Amino acid sequence: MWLNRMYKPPGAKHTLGWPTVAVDESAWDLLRADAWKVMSMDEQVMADVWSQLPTALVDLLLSHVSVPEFCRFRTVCPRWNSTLCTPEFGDLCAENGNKDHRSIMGQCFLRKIRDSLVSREIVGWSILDLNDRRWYTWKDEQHKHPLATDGGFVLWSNYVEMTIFNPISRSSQVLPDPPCSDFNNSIIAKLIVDSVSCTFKVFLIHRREKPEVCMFESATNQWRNSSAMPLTRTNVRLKAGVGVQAHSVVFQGLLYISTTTVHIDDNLSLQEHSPIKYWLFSYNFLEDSWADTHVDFPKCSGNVKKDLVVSGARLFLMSGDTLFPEASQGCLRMKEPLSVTEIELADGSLETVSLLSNPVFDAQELEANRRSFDFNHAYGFDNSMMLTYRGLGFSIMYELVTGFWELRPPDQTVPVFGNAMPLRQPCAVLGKPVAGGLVHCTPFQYSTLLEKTLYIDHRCQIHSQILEDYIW
Amino acid sequence: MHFQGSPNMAEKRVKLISSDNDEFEVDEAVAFESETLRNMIQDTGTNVPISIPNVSSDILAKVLEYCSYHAETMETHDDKPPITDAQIREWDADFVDVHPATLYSLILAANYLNIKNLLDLICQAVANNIRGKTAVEIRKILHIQDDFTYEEEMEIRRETKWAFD
Repeated sequence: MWLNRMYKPPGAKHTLGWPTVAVDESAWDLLRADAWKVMSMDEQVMADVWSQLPTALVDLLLSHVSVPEFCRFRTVCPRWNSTLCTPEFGDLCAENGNKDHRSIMGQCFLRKIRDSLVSREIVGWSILDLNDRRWYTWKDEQHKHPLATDGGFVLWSNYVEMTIFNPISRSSQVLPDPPCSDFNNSIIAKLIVDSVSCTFKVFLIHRREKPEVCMFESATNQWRNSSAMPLTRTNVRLKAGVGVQAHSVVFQGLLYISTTTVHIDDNLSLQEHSPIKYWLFSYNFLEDSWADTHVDFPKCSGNVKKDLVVSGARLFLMSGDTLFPEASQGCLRMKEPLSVTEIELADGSLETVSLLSNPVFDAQELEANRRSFDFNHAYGFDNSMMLTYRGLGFSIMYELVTGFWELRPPDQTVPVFGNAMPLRQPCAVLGKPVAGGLVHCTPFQYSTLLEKTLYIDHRCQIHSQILEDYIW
Repeated sequence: MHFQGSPNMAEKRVKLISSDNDEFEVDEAVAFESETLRNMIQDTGTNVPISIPNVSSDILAKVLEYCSYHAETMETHDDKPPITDAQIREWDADFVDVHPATLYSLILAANYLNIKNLLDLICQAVANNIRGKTAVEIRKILHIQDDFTYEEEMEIRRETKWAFD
């Protein structure tokens, strides 16, 4: 940032996004003069180290840098630029890359108020870099509805087709039409990326139609349906899909699907606030076989939302109540506790790990006309879990090791979604072309940066900072 | 110099000779951490000392320290609890906390001896050294001549503009 301030060219106007003002060439010369820093002894040694290394070892070293750095380092010299953009280098990164460097994807939006109604307009993408604790944000005009993320890729649909997308290179591959219709709002989607073999799998589970799994494999470029879910329990009624509150997670190589039923014996009339019963099934997608985990979930209120979460190589169920605004106190309150329950698959038992009773959130600025807020999704990564709230923008973190809950302050512009994952280099090719396969990659498109960049300090507090000075 | 990977007397011992003619004796399991040494031992057996002409004594000692620790972590002892991954990571972090010049020699040695895990570890350490640096700083630090034209560099910057702020 300081570089930008220091070398702001005279006459460059402060513009939103991409400035149209030509950059003064003298600023360019200044930037290149490199006159601003004296090398330390260690840096001198480092210079000697690098300059003496064989090219193959330099490439190996570069394959360990993080993706944002990789994007910056392309401008070091033409050799680095051409090296870093080859598919071979992408393979090297997939093999060696820093897998501990993780990010969470998000979409940023603008809030618009028209006729006292608040609407959101998606304007771009965000990456929350968990290691450097900062956001990277950029504009993207196309409207995309993200369904799932994994391995640095996003599965999204634009209500017409389903696409797998590398947000770094903005290259995408359109999937063949899935066999189930109406796949946007009524499906649960899961993506599994295998970065070593450059293949991926997509799972679609329909909430309202037949309880089967639609599975796409990039290796064959085809969709196929699973065998039917075994509904052996007499009191389970899954006549129409796995239920609106169903969830799914990939854990230890199996796809776990929680289904919901409204259990009212033979009376089929569904009432909105009837108690909900959860069932957990596992699907082995390599063998196309189903199993009932025989986990006995207690019945719960229809208001309480549950999500399956994998964290610290353990399987959890997070459940949280709807948040209700208390207008007089300017806060939001949850009537039921927020809970984390570990699912012991060995014996089907449940153990409550943590309870956060009646959490209260500050909500001074929320629009008064909203009745309630449901939690959107819970995500697990490393030893953390995160809940995000639709329409609120804030998230709640739970740390498995320390047992601490942390309420992140609201950020009205970025809904976070998906797994924490390593990002992928632009050169990373996903889904090696197969005979008859449809591989469509758009080249780089120019993107512009949103004016607002968000930083997270060492305590995970999110700050907004308006970037005032632009050079480019 | 002797490295006692394990007191098991049944283990075969391997003699290694560094570029400055020091002799090192290690367990075969320790030497097998190196793919290069493994191939050599399988070709010539353990009777003949193996000469490593392009690795100096201090660096070879350091490499063998790494190999014996990691060979040890593979072993299971009834009387000792197994070494946890966290302990290994901590040990590794200490191991690469050395002067950049030593890191450089270690990269070359790990590359020559083909010790994948050590090479990964050092590459990550060196990559961490250049974290957060701008392209200008990198050019300066690594003495790289910048041959881009203004337009070329702007073009690259535009492609992933978000990464430059």
